[in-house]
Amino acid sequence: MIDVIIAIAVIGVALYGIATSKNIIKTIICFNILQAAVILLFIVIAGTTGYDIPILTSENLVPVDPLPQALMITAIVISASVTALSLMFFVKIFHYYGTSNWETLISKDESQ
Amino acid sequence: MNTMIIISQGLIFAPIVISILIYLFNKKIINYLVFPIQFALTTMVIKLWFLLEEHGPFTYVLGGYNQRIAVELKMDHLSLLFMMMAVLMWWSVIIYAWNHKGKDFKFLFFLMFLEGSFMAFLQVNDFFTFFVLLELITIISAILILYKKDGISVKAGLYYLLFNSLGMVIYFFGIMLLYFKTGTLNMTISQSIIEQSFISSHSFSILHVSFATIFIAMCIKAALFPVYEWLPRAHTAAPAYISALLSGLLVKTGIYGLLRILPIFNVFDVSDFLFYLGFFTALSGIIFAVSQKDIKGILAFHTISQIGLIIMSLAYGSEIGYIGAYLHLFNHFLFKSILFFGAGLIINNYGYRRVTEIHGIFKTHPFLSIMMIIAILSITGAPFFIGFISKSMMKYSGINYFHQILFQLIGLGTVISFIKFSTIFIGKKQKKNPLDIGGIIGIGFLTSITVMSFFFELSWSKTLLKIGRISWDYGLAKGYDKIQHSMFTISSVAEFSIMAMLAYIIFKLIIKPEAKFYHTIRHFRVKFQDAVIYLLIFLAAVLNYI
Repeated sequence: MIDVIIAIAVIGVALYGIATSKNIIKTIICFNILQAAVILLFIVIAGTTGYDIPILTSENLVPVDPLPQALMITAIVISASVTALSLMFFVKIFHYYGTSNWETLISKDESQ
Repeated sequence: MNTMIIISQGLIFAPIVISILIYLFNKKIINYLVFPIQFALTTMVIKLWFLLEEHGPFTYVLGGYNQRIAVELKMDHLSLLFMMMAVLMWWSVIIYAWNHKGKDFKFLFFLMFLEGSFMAFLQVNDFFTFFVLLELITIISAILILYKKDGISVKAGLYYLLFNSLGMVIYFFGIMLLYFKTGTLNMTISQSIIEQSFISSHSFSILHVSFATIFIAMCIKAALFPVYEWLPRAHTAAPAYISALLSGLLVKTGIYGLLRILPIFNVFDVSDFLFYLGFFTALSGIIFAVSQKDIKGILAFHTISQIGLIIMSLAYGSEIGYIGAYLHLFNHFLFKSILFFGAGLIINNYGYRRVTEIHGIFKTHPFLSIMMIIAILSITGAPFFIGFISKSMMKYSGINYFHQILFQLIGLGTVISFIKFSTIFIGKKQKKNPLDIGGIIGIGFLTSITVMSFFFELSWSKTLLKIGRISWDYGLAKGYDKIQHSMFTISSVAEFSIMAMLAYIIFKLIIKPEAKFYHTIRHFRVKFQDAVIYLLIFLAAVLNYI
């Protein structure tokens, strides 16, 4: 139970970070934390205690449902690519505007 | 059935394989392969149409696994409609952009890869593959928005990518909750499981949270009321052909998702909520559209209002509303692409973006202007143009007269925003610059389809109404006869001209004088952080409503 609570708390922290941080890098990192926290939450829910790992073993234990873990690997790949792409976008933004602050960025847009 | 499987796989893999070949060889001669592949896709979609008419919807499971956990593909008439739109869209984008992007192998790689993933997205029948493909479409279209390589487009691309991916994380949260509740991610199976579990208990459960999150994610993709800020930014910053692609097709992925997901969660009744959500979307789209000065800005906010109109028409689930909305999805794709292409040509040639700076286009480019005026008349719902058919059907989809008045109000707003747009055609002549010939051919291609599909849609909707596939048990039963008989009577022409005159008066008296608050509205931009907070409030509102 405690691990589920931790995962939900991390989701809350990440959402707070996305909604308040003024720095683009911080937003992107909070975004990555959010994706990781969602994945953590479901891995924790899926890995029920009392079951075996989903690999064929000699002992006659019942394995856990392997589908959520297979899906989470795909989700991790997606979250990594989104993070990589948004960091690339940030590099471009820094190249054009020379700032990493959301608000400075908006004021630069208005002056054009 | 083997033909169906070949078509289904061909639609997905042909563009992807070609895109990889283009990227690997990096030769001009290989780039010409996009034309035969587009011919092949067109043939496959037409063949698919005949097969679907003959055999009905078709599903098959990949890899021979259990249907409960496997990737399932499904093709029906809804996916066919979107596939037709997609093929036409890619034809026109390739023709339009060929002159200055034909050598750019990276651009063609992304474009063709996007087509393949979009075709795959239209066929999936399970929640997780849906998520993966939607995320793939988001990533590739963010790269395409960046393609003008200037500061504003990079900023718009980052906003688009982060906000849409946030929506996708929320969607992922919802589907995983659904998986732990129902034990499957297949859309067909989960529908029956949801119904059964809802019969046993009505109280608040994980299902409610799951529905709310999936619904919100689709609202973000469709750019509905509180969470549409990414759309005008992306549409104004992207190059013209990408704006057309985004506005004509990619923003409709959200509506496609809603059309797929709402029947699965049919235990939740959200019709009133959806109707007013659509209404406020349409209204705010119009308010921002009339205050814009940038011609692409007007078109972008107008896209939001049309999306709202489609959602309003779908809300109560009446058959006439569904048919009207399907036709309007197709029509909106046609005329909005023409307008974005035309606006792109004008901006490229004159270097201006503001409505007040551009004038006398009709005198310098009469052919382009005629095509754009056809699109404008269609979009405003003038009689004898395609927009008229879908808009008059959508008007009767509400359940009382109040709803019909709201539809008329949105129609009036559309006319006002396009009076503002069409001031670019009149006025004194500017220096004439030659236009890009590929652009003209691309617009001409879409305009000819617009004119042709008018006759097609007219006969099609009449047969549809005649054979009685419309079960009409709402208050406005007269609407049915009215559309059938008074398509082209004097009254509909008179109704439109009264509306146009009223719109012109409002435009002259209120919009033209440039009051100070228009400036405030024009420069009103939602910050990313605020948009996230709106999103959370919206989520709370949906959770509270269901």
